[in-house]
Amino acid sequence: MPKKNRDDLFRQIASDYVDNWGESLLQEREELTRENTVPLTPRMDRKVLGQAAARKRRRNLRAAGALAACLLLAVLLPRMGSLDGGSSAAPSAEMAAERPAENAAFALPQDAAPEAGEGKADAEEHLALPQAAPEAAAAEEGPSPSAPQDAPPAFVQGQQDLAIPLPFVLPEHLTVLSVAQEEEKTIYHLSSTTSDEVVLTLESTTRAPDTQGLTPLSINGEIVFTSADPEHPFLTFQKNGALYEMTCSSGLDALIDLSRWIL
Amino acid sequence: MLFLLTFSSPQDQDRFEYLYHKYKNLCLKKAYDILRDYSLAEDAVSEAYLRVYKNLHKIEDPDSGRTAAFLVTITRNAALTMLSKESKNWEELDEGQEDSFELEEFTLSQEFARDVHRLLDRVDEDLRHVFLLQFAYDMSHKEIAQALNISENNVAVRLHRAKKKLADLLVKEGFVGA
Repeated sequence: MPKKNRDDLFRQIASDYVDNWGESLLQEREELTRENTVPLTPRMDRKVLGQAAARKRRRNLRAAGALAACLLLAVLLPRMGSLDGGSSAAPSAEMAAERPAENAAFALPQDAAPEAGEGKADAEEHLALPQAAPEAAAAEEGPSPSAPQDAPPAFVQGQQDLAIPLPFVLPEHLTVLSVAQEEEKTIYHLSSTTSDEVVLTLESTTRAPDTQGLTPLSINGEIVFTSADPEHPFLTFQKNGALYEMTCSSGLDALIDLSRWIL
Repeated sequence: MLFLLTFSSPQDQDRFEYLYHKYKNLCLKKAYDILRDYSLAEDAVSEAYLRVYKNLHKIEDPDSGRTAAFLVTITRNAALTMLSKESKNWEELDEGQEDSFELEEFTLSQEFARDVHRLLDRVDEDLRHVFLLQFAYDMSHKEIAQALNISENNVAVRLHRAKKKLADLLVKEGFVGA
């Protein structure tokens, strides 16, 4: 008999055997339950259930550790890429730059506006993840229908490589409207559902903020400097080698909220 | 996604606890039948369930007879292992030894099934366990080795012996020709 057929026979015999045996075991179990003759087993219960729970905890801890390591890599790798020249960090931005934009800016053409709402939703999905390539997200998003006509300039070609990625995940009420680069500074225009637009400027420097005329304020144990000038609310602080400056025409509260989120 | 699969789901834990509470008395009795000592029997059942925990995915229907047979197979094996502390010297499997028996074509009919089951009962229990886990539960050698706490080589040796023994019995009892 060929080996395969022989194994099939064994499989049939074994399967029939456990089916029959299993049925008799189930009957035996029913009888045991009825007779209730088996002693209580608190020691065994503790041992089995305790060890099973411990194994589950260990397994979950290992999985969580591995997941955290991957997330950390996902956050760090794009930053390392941007330090090395960053061209790989923003493939979408590069693709966008190759679009036939005669003025060398890579905002979406206006006739794409009907689809821009969809694009905005996509961009929001990106922003819910770690901010791997915000410039790319901004490039994908382009000026949305809700963007004001006098929206600030988008990247000039080539400058996107210099952009500093957002070092934090944006709160839900904020989305990146556009990103611009001015020398060493990356300027994020953030659209808010709760206030006017927030303009956040990031500069990679260890330099302390210029605090002249500003009021110190403690947020989450960190000192920030604010100007409550109703004409020009302003907030600045230094964190992890980056100088943050932000303004919002709605008032200082929106800036304090965002700082609290970042810090 | 892989990470999510790696996490133990609450359903796994519930499933395990359900299996434990449902079959622990049956398993305890089966272990006691071998060990004649409730304390040792508890240890055997504990050991068996921890092995089962690693093979939860093999259990499709917790209420089926197949599941009861699976748990009792692992439990009896754990009890038998405890009974014979001195491990047997399972010799290495010679390559030429593998499948060195022949059987004529044979189809198991309902008529003969009961008799064939009796034949399988005549196969040593430690061999039968491996045979059943391989052919009834479709477990790999590695999975069987983990479930029975023996080496993969032992699995291969026992499996060969079980098949050889069963084939001999099938021929001897006239179910098939050699």
